[in-house]
Amino acid sequence: MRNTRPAWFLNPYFQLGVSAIMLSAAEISLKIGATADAGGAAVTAVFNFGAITSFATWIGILLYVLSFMIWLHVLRLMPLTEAYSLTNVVHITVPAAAWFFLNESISTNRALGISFVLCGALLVAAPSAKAEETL
Amino acid sequence: MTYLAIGICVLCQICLVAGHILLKHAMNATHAAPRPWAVISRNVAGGIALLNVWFFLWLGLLRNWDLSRVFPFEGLSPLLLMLGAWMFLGERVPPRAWLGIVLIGVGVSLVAQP
Repeated sequence: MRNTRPAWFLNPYFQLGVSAIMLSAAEISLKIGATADAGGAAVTAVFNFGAITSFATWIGILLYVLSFMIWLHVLRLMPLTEAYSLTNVVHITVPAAAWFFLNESISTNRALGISFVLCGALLVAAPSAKAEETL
Repeated sequence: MTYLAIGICVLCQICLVAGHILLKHAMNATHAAPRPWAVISRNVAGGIALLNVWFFLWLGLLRNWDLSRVFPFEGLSPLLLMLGAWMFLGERVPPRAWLGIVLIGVGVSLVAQP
């Protein structure tokens, strides 16, 4: 093959960004679907089977699967250690989307907790990629 | 958050990670020359079952709690992968990873606060 460079939209870094945006959209949709209808079950039930009656849940599932397929494509072009580190942007994009689209209020404690998780996840990214390869 | 909800968050992540590991074992088995269909189907079935448990538990959590509160628990999944390799395969966990584990633990307990 003469030209092995992927087209810009197949560039793994771009694809990872798309995957992160899709995952954020998926989580927002699942949150909307999960709260849309209690499905007759008590709201204290541990499993929420009623959510599958909501259209938003299915949009969420679709976006989740798409995001996963893009992730698999990224892994063909990028080492797992690097992909694992970069994919941690979801720890910022998902709460940011929850704040922006769902008007969730993020307290100082919660923001602090999120930053701790992000730093920790970045530190374990390379060793956990190795763990995934060996497990 | 209640202790029950925190426990479910952790269980949720265990199911997610274990499910992915089973699916990966199934995919690895497909490379063997006569394909070991019994092993493949057992792992695929187990993986799908665990991912179903994860999904409906996750929807249950999302019904009662803010997304920005339960999502940080996703940070437990790389940690669980590593602890799994440490416990089952005797893999060494480097010092920086132990520091990461502590940070994720502190972060998750901060978001779980009432």
